[in-house]
Amino acid sequence: MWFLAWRNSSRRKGQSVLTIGITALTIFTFVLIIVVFSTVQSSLQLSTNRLGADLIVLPNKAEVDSFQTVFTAKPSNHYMKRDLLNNFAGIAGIEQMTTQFYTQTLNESCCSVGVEMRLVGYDPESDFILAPWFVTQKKSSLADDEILVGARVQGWLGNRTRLLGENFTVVGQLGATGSGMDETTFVNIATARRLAANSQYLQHLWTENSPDELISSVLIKVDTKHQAIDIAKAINKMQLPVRAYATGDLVSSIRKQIEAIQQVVIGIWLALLMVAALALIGRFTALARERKKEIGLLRAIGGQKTSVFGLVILESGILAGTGGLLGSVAGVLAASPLLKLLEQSLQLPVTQWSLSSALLCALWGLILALILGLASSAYPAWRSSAVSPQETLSRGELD
Amino acid sequence: MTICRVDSLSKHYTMGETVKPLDNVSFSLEAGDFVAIEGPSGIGKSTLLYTIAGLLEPSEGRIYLFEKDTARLSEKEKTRMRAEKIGFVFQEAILFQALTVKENLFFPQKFNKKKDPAQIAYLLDKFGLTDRINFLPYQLSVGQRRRLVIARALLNEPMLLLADEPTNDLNEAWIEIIMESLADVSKKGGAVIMVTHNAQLAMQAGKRYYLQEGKLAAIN
Ligand SMILES: Nc1ncnc2c1ncn2[C@@H]1O[C@H](COP(=O)(O)OP(=O)(O)OP(=O)(O)O)[C@@H](O)[C@H]1O
Ligand SMILES: [Mg+2]
Repeated sequence: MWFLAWRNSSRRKGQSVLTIGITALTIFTFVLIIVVFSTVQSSLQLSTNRLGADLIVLPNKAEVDSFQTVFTAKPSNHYMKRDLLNNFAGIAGIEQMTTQFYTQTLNESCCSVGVEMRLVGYDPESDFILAPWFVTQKKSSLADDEILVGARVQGWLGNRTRLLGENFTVVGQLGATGSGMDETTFVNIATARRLAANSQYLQHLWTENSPDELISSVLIKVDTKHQAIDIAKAINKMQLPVRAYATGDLVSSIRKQIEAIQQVVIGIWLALLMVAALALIGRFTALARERKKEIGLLRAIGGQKTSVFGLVILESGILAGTGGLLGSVAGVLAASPLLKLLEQSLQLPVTQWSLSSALLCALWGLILALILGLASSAYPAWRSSAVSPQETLSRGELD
Repeated sequence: MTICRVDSLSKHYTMGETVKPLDNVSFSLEAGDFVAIEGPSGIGKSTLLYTIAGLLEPSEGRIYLFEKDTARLSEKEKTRMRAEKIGFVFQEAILFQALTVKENLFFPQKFNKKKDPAQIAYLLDKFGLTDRINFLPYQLSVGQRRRLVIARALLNEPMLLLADEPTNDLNEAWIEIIMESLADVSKKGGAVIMVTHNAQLAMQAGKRYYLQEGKLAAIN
């Protein structure tokens, strides 16, 4: 039966292309949706796990986007006064606390990387974020001319680079975290302040306070007896010009938004699925009807009812399978650029997704295509096999 | 051996009004018989052939094929019998449209145990299709299609050949070859029923019947 099913599918090109097209499109959108949402969701999850801080305190200014600050490496020059820290001394539950000073590389500098990216000064005295790396490298801290780069920082030429007019040695690269850290370049906090103070482009920021008196963020690790959210509340109650965010919370709020979008998109996709299923039922019914006489012939030359049923199912399987395969592959191929686009336009953190998850998505797409094909051809197949051969042989199209 | 025995066979179609093309028909076919059935258009000749082949359920009466009561055979067994012992030439030349000439013969062979490329080559040659083996049905002339379906009916060397106007669309020379092929089946110990509107051809058969008003009458 394979033989006839295969010939029927491959020699009726126009017909087959239509059916394959409908399936491929449905599966393409399916794979794309699955890939995008699952990647974004898992990236968010990863990001929180690997962030290292339970709480982040940022200046309470209109232009500060907490989510963006944590999850992307978009340069942001926002500052608050360092002595605000004194206010946190009395809060119970703070296990560790460190500060960071943000500045940026400038794209006009001649010999550095082409894009502008965040340059973060970490405080070697109190740091616990980069500490694990220093432990594995048996290094105590970064010297003034040393930099440490995130997993996705690219384009460094050799080991030496020039940033804001100074020479640096790249001493290492951090593992991937899925957060903004991956695209950040770290220096020690004194260096970050010095670079910022000397940069001709940033002078307008230092009119009130010099960089030495400023910090960009406070990162807090909460002890096991306390909840990050409670400490965030305590800090926010103090009426300081800062705002504390529980990083887990940050993620769950953005996740809620994404889930809402996801539901809408899946709803739309389900509608598409219905349309596709109806179209396919129509296609397979037409296919069976068109071939009524051949189906009668099959019975007359000794094909069993099960052969007829099998023929229609096989043909739809071949068509849906081909469509599914094409759709899956196209979906997987389109997913990477789409994820990049999302990452850039929405400033969502996106982790790289692996070949194995791509294959898994493609496999799911294929399975779905086959289910779709079989489900929509089951009825036409059953009808074709149940009808009396004489009727299929002698009667025309009307019916 | 009695190859086919029809006993008080009736068939009616009910679609709004009832049509009764076969009304209490009885006859039998022995090995070596070649029977022609004539009758006006729309009278029930095709219906009779379909019913004998088990492609249509009789309303009443019994059909015995190879001395077996078909009513006692399962659908599966009847289908097997068609594959192995019966050849059917439909009034309309029905072919698998997506299969080439050769494949249209090769594929039906899968249903009976004989897989015989030599037989296919022989039939293609006999019916003048050797130079068209890779053509699809739509690329054939009407007469070529007719010859192909006859070749297909002879493929399993049937013991019972049911031929519904097999000589349609063909010229004298081909008609002669086809009549010979039908006669061959009966000569080899099989039986043939041929429906025709052509009295000349009917005379070449051993027995002639005329179907009218549901009754089958022998012509002498
Ligand atoms: N599936 C069906 N449903 C209802 N009526 C049918 C059906 N098939 C055939 N008939 C009727 O049965 C009658 C006999 O049809 P049949 O095809 O057997 O005629 P025939 O003798 O072969 O005619 P012709 O020489 O024109 O081929 C016709 O009047 C036809 O209308
Ligand atoms: Mg007829």
